[in-house]
Amino acid sequence: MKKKLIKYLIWINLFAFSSCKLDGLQTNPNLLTPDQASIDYLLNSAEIEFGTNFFFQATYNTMDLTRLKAMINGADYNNSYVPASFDGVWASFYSTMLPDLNTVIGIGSKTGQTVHTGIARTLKAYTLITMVDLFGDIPWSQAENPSNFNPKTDPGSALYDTALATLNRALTDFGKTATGGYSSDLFYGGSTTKWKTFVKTLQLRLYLQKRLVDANAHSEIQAIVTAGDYIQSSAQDFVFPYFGNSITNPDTRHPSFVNNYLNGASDYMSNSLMVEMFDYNNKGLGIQDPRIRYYFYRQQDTPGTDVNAIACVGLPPPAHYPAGTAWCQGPGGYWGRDHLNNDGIGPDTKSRAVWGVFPAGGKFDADQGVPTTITDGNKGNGIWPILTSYSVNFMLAEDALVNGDPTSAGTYLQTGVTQSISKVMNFANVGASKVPTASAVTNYINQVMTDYNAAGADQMQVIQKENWKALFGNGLDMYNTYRRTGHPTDMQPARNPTPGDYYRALIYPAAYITRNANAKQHADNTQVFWDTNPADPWIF
Amino acid sequence: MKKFLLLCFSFGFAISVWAQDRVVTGTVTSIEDGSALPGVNVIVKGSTMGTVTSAEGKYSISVPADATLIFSFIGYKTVEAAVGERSIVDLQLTSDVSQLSEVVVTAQGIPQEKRALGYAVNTVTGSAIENRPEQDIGRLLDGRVTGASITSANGVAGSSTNIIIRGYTTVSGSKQPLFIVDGVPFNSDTNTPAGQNDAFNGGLVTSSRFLDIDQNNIENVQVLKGLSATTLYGTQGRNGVIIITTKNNRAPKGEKFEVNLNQSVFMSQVASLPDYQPAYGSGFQQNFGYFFSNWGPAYSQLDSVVHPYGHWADASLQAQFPQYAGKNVKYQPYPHSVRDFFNTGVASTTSVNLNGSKDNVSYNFSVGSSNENGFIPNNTLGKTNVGAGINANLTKRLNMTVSMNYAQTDQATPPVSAGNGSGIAGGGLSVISDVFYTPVNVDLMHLPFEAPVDHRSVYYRTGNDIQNPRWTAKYAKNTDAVRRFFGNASINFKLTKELTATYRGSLDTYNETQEYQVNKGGPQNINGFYRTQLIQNTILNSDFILKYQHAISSDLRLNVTGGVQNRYDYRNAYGMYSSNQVIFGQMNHNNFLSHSNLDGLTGSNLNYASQVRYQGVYGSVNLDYKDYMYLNLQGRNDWTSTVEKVNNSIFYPSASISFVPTTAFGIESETLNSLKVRASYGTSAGFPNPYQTRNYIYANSRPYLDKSGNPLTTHSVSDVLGNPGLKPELLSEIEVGIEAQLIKRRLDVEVSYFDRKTTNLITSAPIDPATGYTSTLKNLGQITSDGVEASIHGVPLQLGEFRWDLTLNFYKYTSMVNNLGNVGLTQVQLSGYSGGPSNWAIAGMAFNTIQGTYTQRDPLGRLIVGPDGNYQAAHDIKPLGNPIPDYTSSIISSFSFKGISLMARIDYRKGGKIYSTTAGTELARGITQDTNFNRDATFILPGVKQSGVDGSGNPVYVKNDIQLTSSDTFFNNYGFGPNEFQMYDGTTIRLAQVALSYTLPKALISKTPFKAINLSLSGQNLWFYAVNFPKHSHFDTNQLSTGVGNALGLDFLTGPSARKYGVTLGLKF
Repeated sequence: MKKKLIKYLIWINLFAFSSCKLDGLQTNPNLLTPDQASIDYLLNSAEIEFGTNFFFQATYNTMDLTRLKAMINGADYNNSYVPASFDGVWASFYSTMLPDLNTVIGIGSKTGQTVHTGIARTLKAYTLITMVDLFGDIPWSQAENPSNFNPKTDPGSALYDTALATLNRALTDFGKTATGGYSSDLFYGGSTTKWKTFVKTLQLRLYLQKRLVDANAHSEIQAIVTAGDYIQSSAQDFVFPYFGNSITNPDTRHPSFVNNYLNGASDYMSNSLMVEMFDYNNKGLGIQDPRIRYYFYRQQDTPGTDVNAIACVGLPPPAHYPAGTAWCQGPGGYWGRDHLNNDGIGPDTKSRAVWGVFPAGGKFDADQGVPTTITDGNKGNGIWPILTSYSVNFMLAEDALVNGDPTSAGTYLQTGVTQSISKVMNFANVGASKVPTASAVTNYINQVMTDYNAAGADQMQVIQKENWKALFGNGLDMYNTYRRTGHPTDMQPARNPTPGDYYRALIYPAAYITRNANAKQHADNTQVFWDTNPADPWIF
Repeated sequence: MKKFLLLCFSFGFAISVWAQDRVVTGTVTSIEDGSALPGVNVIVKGSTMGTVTSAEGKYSISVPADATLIFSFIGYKTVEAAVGERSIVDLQLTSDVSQLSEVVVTAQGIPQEKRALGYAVNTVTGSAIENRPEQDIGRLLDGRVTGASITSANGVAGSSTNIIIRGYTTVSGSKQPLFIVDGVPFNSDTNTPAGQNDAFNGGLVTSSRFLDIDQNNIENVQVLKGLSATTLYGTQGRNGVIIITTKNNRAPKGEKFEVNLNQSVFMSQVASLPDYQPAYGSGFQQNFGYFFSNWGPAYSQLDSVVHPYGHWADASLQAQFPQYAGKNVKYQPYPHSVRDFFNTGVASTTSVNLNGSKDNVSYNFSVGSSNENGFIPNNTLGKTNVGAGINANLTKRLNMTVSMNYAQTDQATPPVSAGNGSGIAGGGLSVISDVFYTPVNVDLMHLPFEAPVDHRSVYYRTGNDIQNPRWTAKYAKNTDAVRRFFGNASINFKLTKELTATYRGSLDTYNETQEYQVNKGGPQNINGFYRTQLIQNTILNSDFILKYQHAISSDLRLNVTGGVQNRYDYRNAYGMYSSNQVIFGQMNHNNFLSHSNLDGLTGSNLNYASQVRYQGVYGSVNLDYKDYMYLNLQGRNDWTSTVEKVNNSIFYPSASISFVPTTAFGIESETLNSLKVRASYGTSAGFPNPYQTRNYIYANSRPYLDKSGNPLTTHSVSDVLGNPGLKPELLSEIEVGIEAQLIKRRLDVEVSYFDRKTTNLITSAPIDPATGYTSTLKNLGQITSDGVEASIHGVPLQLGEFRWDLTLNFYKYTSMVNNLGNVGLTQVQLSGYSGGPSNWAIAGMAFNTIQGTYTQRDPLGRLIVGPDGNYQAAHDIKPLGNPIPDYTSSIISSFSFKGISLMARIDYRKGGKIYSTTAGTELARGITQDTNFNRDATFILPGVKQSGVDGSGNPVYVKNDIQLTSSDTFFNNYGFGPNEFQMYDGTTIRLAQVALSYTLPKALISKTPFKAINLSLSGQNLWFYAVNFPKHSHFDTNQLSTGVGNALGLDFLTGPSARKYGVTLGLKF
């Protein structure tokens, strides 16, 4: 009995132990191993991240700074942002997009999938340029290295050179015969011709951006224009598409639509933009911008009157507002906010104006005056206008004007305005009611050109004012333009007469300054390398 | 307790028998109840000859002439008896009430007298736990265990409990203790949805799985704290071990049968309700408006205002309430809205316990059932426990025990998640976050909360854009249903008189079904969602243990234990998230338009699997010299599957020594009854969670649609950097202590000091995304924790049957981050908001230091006010305080007289900083009495403002003179301004527990079938005061918005706490 039992016990235990191998339990069954990764799916990930997160984050904050949208989080610049405000764009670039793009380049270089590597290099260059434009000096040469937790920054100017070289590598890639195409491309359906055109346009944009510090910028731009391979028509536009229009999973609707149509408004629109579009530059000429009903949808078509919902109603404009500056709200329900108005959020989510059909895929304003619902308009089928033919024309207008050719500048301006209006009005089928007539469009463009031709030394003001209106949805290019040219010079002032220094670069994110021992926060008025304009208060 | 141990011991304590002149036999019984005592040591004095008594208490031993027998047994006074001419020596043993004779269950179930232990152990008897108004064993231990910090998530019935024993020793690993129930491991996880710390998405109501233990079927609880006490439990025991012995394992003892019946009824109420100011209604800048804020005009200034439900912008909503359209109401306060929002909760607990023994078998059967309605509307908790145990001496050598338990726990509650003072911080819902600042002029409880036609939530704002908490309470729900079986069977076989073998197998398995139900129509999640997840967790454990006991001489005894353990944990989760409800009120995935395997709130996969194996070999040697010097050496080697093979093995030793000078030097006296000093050194290891050593690719099959509506698949390089070289972290601890009993056993003192150190810390460091990754797991850095635990128990007064007992428990610890390795990390965020209030490990500072935003200072350190008169926030964060309390203490006072006893426990917490959104928001919203001042006055914030620049371009600062309104002052600065203004000192005094109990005199019930009748009244958390918080906030510092984990001192409006009181009737027959 005793011996039997001991034998039995030992047998039980041996049995239990023989089944317990420690090996083979180290691999996570819930994820894929790196050798299972697909280059197509990696590039899908980078493109989707680029549009839905990177560009979204970049444009939302910069639209606020440039009065394309209302900036409402502080009464002054300093208290409007905290470092964590920019964690999203930082992580999107460094830890989400770059590892995927680098993996695509690594795989594609071996397999000869040069369409993939070209696209990856192009996106890498665009995002790198953007990060420099937003933050100034950023980590690069020491970045993307898991053995260095504290990468130091590189100068922005060197990173522009890197971006340019990367774009040239992309052109080389697109010139090769690829071992396979990339059909799920969201931008150009895998067309290397269109990608090449975009890359060259991006180089044009880059040269314009550094024209203050690069004497060759103008000639480089001219060379690209002369060669003729740059974005000139809407069909070549580089836009990120939101194809989905249903609430079912996956939700691929435009975020500005979801945020403002699900349960009333979440964003505040810019009073000054709405006012200057409602009545052309607030001049009392009776000319309305043909795009206004596409950009904005009014949930009520009468002005707000409840002081609880709109605290400034009935108050006189601040003493430092020049006469004619937008104040408190626009007419007839164009109810937004003034620059740096941080009043508490009143009960106005079903009352204030929201994003319209362009570019968010919302509702065309035909004077309905009822709150938004999630089944409205284009149902979120919208875009992010990242680099378009009309904005290229505004760039070329600026380049021509600063290089002594106001006539060409005028031509580019007219093309820019025309193409912008055309893009917006052809964006979606909005029915017939309240659609601007052809003569209204012509009147508008004629008035712009009349002003331009009469502007004398203020021609840049006319160009950039129109650029501003055209760039709705792309705060990034407007933020760059504002810092590069100082125009428009008549932006709506902050409500507080002393809002502190303008953000000449965004402050560094919390994820960088709190985790990187070599990181040091810079001042709000730090200027990026291509901004050699006077220090603040040059722009405000 | 002592009786329970008889059996295990009877197989272990045997010494060889030698043939001698003549044979003496006898029976050893207990003097208390006359029951036979098996396993009593019988030794011939001055020799190594001896035996032990049988299960019937009988012994037989050969003795020389003039022999004296020594009868000794753990927990009883040792008796010497001269044999003389007798051939039968029957004896009665008296239990030893001295402090050092208390029997304690140590690691792997080895019972030892307290005098032999080289480390501290806390014992809590079942009677201190039974019949209290709390179902959670973790919370029941609060105030009873020195060296443990026990914090509730909040007052929701069934919410989680965080237990941290002896400070922080790991950055990223778990600090939760190991639960051992009836000798085998018991899963005590808090399964927050999708495996995440989900405080921002409704997860703060999730239970900790030790809730499944029947609190009324507990014989006793031992808490092993130090590493030298827990070595034999392996890496799982490094955070302390809570050993729960249920009544299922009682040993056979005489012929008896007993039934215990207990019935309790308890009430609960919200305990942390602020005092509302009755002077000002909703609005801002003294203007009336339906806002969260109460900075409106004084009630005396306005007669009537628009009806809260008469001014909605949405015509389709107003059409459902035509009776209010355009109406006015009197402008008046309803100061009891929030009080009346909460219920008086009721809990009823019934427990029946049958136990008895016959022949060589003892048995226990228990059934417990609890039903609780919490004080938060629609918060319910139901528990049913069935347990049975058999302990049988099959032969003289063979004993078998079987213990089986079934537990069923059902919790339902409205969701609770972090609030930011202006709504919910995350994507979930919270029934609590906005209710505390309900405007005083809104009659919350008498206005409708849902629209009659479409059932949507309705509330007072024009845009109807905030959710009515009553709607949330009714139409949003978290449920948690657990079906759990745990049990074990073991065989003890006495191979020789000195050697015993034990094999024990156990199973602990549960299915936990969690649902998160949100109907459509609430502004926060207007289309509704439904998330279900089934979590299956299983622990299979087997132990093979050999125990050898040998008397080397009558002065020196040897006790050796060796064992192997094999544990296998596996877990699977299956879940689905659906959104966009079709028909209101129906919770079924089929009634929703969208479905996904990804959680819509956190983005994580609701389906996952994990497997972990642990193997261990261990040994322990005890030497006992003359009952005054004890040496214990232990060691264990662990192999675990969560790291790569080269690093998967680790050995850790420990040693402890105990010395009893009073016995050694014979200096016991009426003044100094006993004295013991002890010292120990222990080590352990902590392994990481599985799957951290390799790099992975995240795949999502359909995150986006292309032009034709076809899904696009994505692969993405993981943001987490795998570390193939990851090793277990190493813990070591030195502990010294002293235990003394003084003044005729009326004063017991026990003091311990510990100093522990963790190296090779497994640190999940958030890293600069510029590295390409957002976090990694590294072995780096060192944390030290040291502390003092003291327990003093005295009997200041004893007159006849009147007795006054007084106990003081004291605990103080610090946890410091010495360094964070040499990879260039200077600080690691542990929890909280990025760039906002958060816990950090910063080299050279206290672990969990709170960092947050602050106001810019001029070169003289004065606060800088901006041009608008408000404080200027700096663009980074800095340390704002240490959340670890300076010390915590409890005073337990009890009076007893005949059958009456009255007990009260007062807790005092000194210091420990808390970031409190609750207190900050109450100021920002002008809601409490603290803001009931003359609001027409203006304020000038203390500080300076810039006045131009000097010659060298440096700013010049002058005293601030910019006037602010009262609303701006509190809203923009003290309430919602830089985080430094919401930091409070956590010093709290608390009447934690009061109990009055009466046991009917035996004479009175002698003619009834009852053996005993007991009636008790008890209450807990009856009163508290956080002295440095705003006076009218009534903030309860015993709550934690981050739930179970390593975070500390962060409050994000997640919890009122509960006050509970009630009555229990106990019947024994």
